[in-house]
Amino acid sequence: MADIEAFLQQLVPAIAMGCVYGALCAALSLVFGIMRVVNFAQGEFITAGMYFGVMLVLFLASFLQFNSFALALVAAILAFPVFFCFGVFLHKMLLSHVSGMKVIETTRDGGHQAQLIVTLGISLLLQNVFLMMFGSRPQSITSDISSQAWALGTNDLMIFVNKGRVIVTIIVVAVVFLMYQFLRKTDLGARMRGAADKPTAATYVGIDVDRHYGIAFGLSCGITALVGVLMATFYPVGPFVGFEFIIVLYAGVVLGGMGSFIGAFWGGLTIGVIQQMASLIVPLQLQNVLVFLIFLTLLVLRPQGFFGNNAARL
Amino acid sequence: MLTCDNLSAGYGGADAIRDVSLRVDAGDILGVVGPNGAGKTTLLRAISGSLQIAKGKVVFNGTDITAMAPHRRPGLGLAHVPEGRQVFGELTVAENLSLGATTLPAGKSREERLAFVYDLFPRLAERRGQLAGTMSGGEQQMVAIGRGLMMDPKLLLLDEPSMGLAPKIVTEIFASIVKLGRTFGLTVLIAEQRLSETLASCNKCVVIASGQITASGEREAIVRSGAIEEAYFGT
Ligand SMILES: Nc1ncnc2c1ncn2[C@@H]1O[C@H](COP(=O)(O)OP(=O)(O)O)[C@@H](O)[C@H]1O
Ligand SMILES: [Mg+2]
Repeated sequence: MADIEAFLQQLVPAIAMGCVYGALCAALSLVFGIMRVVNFAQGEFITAGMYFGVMLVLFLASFLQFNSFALALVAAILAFPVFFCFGVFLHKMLLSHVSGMKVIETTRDGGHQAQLIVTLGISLLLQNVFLMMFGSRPQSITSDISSQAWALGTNDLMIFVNKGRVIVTIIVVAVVFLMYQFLRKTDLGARMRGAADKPTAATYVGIDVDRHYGIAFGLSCGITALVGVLMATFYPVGPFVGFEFIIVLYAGVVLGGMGSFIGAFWGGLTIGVIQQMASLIVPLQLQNVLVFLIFLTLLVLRPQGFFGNNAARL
Repeated sequence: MLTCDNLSAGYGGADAIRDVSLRVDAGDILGVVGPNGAGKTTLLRAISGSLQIAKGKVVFNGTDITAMAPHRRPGLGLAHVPEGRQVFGELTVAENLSLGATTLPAGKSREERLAFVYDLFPRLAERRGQLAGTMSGGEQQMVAIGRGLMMDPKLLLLDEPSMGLAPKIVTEIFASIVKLGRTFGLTVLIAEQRLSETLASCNKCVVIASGQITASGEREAIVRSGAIEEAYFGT
């Protein structure tokens, strides 16, 4: 009984973290799957979202008498439009020059080399901006809710689930679900999928492919930052925290099938659960080693990922 | 309807078409015929704008579209059904068709176009929920043409609609094209390597070889002139 209890006590937060990874992977797949861009700066978008949350909660708390967890939820809601605009702007200024219609027909490698340099550049730039603005000391949003737990079960089998983590999990899953429905059901979503699937043919029906890639990039940034704010309620943010996540997130995206939106969510969830459960059997430092061992094994068994390999498939 | 003046275009410096001039009048079914590599696809892409032109001018219904962004040209009624069909393979037939109507306002006009396309290709109506990528070549060609028709085009550019299809399907596809032209009065430009069906369907003809137009005019005159044999066999 004690064993099962310990296992469940580890599994519940692992699933919670897996859902966060899943949402981040789904956001990543909007860039990777729709625009065919490998964005190395995505990790820094998480960091940016986390700092946005920490700072905004500090600011709001200076004159509002609300619980800081409630303020974090407000910050998360605000992060989405702010970072959507940031993403659209960044795409227009930088990424549109190395991706989309400009490169699809005219470069041999689909512009990947140029994209690598641009997104790595953005990544390094942001890391140093964070370092200058916020210093290297880790910060987070502390609140009573993120240190309270609900007890589940009976006296024989009882586990504790953190209240803050439960709320965060529900929100990130809802965000993924809404985004999925948006891609599936709306005209704009269909146009984005068409632009992802056959960019030139999309142009022939009158779709402005680059504009739709810009929207995809904005949505990706918006979701990533929203999730980042929520992460700051349980994970301390430092200038380089995004880098801890980005490689693992790409593993999730690849596992989910190279750009399928909902596949990326499942891929991220899988990777997250494996990573968090790994500490039951290996030391903490080897967590990611185990993640990649399992990732490579799964990839050998199923090279196309869990969900085929196309963005437009969702 | 469409005028091209001295168009030159190509890939990485080398021109694949040189000084091509042609005219399509309202109601024409124009066949652009020539062997593989003659420059037919290049010409169509220069017209619809997915390939930048090096020199020359394209005028569509009185509007100079030479410098117009390619995605804005369908809004004028210029539909390009590309070589190799390029259907949105991961989208359903219905979604493919609905994307074809991107330039139309939502509502009644879209419904009417959809009914028109389903009437022309009843098979698409049966398969509306199927992923386009899982259909046969002939069915995909119907999706591609149907998608082009959804915008209610004034000019339909068809690039090699027979490519990779069984003879029976080719006959069926060309019958639909002729119906569009003769019954519905749609202006059509067909670029084809395949001669028999194309010549049987068109009323005007342009012969293209090695990136240049070698003959153009009424179909009968072109057939009699021997220009086609010259383009294909170099005699
Ligand atoms: N993407 C490309 N890059 C370089 N050359 C090309 C490309 N596409 C076509 N060409 C060349 O341009 C010429 C014309 O090709 P194309 O327009 O496709 O002819 P057609 O459609 O009549 O078969 C050919 O010599 C072909 O090799
Ligand atoms: Mg061709």
